[in-house]
Amino acid sequence: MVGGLVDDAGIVAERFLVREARLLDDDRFSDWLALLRPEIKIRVPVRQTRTVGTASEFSHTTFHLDEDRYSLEMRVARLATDFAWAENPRSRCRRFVSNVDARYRTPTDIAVDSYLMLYRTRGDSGAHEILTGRREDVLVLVDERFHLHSRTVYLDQTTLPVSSLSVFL
Amino acid sequence: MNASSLRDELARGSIRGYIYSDPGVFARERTHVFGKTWNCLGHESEVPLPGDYVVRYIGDDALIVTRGSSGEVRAFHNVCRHRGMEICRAETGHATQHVCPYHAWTYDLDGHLTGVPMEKPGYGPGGLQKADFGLLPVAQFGIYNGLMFANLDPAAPALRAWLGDFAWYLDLVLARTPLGLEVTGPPQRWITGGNWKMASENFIGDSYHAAFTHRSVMEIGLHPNTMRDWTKGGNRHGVHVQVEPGSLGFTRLAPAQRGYPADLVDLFQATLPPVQARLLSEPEPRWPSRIHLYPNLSFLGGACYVAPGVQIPFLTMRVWRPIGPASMEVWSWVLVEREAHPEFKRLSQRAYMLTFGSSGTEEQDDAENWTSIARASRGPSAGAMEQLLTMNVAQHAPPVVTDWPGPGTAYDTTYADIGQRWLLERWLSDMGPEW
Repeated sequence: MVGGLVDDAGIVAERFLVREARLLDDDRFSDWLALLRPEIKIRVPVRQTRTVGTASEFSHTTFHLDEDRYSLEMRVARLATDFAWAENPRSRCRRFVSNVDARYRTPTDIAVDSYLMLYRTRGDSGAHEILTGRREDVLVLVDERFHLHSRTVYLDQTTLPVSSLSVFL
Repeated sequence: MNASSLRDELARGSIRGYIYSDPGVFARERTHVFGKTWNCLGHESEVPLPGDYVVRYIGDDALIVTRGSSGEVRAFHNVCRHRGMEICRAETGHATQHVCPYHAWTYDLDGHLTGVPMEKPGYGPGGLQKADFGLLPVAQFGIYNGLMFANLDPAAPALRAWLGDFAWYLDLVLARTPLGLEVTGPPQRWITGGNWKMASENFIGDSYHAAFTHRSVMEIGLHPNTMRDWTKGGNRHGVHVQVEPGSLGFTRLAPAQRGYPADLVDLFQATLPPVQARLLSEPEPRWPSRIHLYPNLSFLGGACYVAPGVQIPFLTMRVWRPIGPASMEVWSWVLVEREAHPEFKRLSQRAYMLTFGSSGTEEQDDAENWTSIARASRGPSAGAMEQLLTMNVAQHAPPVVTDWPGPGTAYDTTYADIGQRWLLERWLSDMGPEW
């Protein structure tokens, strides 16, 4: 119970993340953009292998993605052209979201911690790529719907096993 | 494989596809190319303090690059002299000494073996001649304008001799402010299909691909160039400079047009020798946009809009580390002038990331080309097919720029196979006469 109300943060957050994954997996990028707040920040910091007990493995200055609304719209616009060769033919992606841990910070603001596994296969080779990581998201309630306000993805990989990161995490 | 026929064919303007995917070619390159040439390990600013280290690679040889107690940077094989264990198993960090996890053989920051448990009872009353068992330094190591290089061949020419006249251009790119460049942070690393030669050829001479491979980025207005810029005046929009051991492509842009802020532009002019400074200024500005140093070090001086109307330039450096016949690990850094405003550094990093690097909208499509070419060439029949390298070379060679102020030969176009031909000739020469 939060303030006398049922604490549904986990249910709300999981429903949001599952719906978001479905939109991305189905190439519904414009619908996905509609889930993002104008002030959206998405960051995927570069990770390096370090000895236990020393500095953080995650960089504060270099990223695989460091996106705002403008750059995300640019990336989506590119996918809509006939010349985005890395995604034409499209990657076939399946985003698995689990281990959702969410809490209301305010009645309109949920902090979410979750796991992501991105399975991706391309062409007819039978090979696949997998990226996994932990996401820290903030969802905010605006106009009676939750939107993504910010996201940081802490990948498990230091050296990405992907020919290019042409998909959203 | 007949090396002499490859040479003859290249002289006529073709190369067989299999060189981009053949396991035998890859196996020979490991010793004949990467075992004998100067390889870039990164930038000195990655190890600013004594004890800082990073682990870097030449092919599969891992090197500990570390700043020693006196402040000097050195590179050692990441191999314990006792039983061959890797000394550093983290890729970066800070240490006061290096201890092998296997038997605790201990080395100081300068590579000296300082500790061997049970030394006297185990190795006799005199102990071990520890001076003979320090970490093995790489055969040759050198730094030029902050770039750290190593060579596995003790008989190879020294770094400065190897760079030759190319150093004039490295100065133009890496030493245009008093403090020079620094990395914006750790490099992005990712594993992509494709062969290191194809990526290198793309940077050493292939400006031709940009208008179509990267068309999406121009269509959406992210890239400051339009399709018309890339085709304006036929192919006369830039200058290709062939200067051993590499080449450069210059575009007709001044630093301010590229998006550099006025304080940095002024610093470039105040720092560079007059000849180089003139190259970057009106009335005939030239901007070094693609740079390649044999075998596998490339730079790109690009730009994009990080917000509507806000064009920001960047300089990326990348090493195409060969890890298989048709796969490479890309190491990609962003370099920025140390004097630059912190906000410019941040935006420059973003401009890079939007267009190049692991998620870059332009790099994505480059990776697609290189991966696809390597894949297609694996078939014995397709691998035997000849690829064409005759654009604006030999009888069609573009005019030489006779008043070019720098060393090497400058051609009045960047659309030519001159650089690719040079790289493959050099590569065939390194691979030796019979294989």
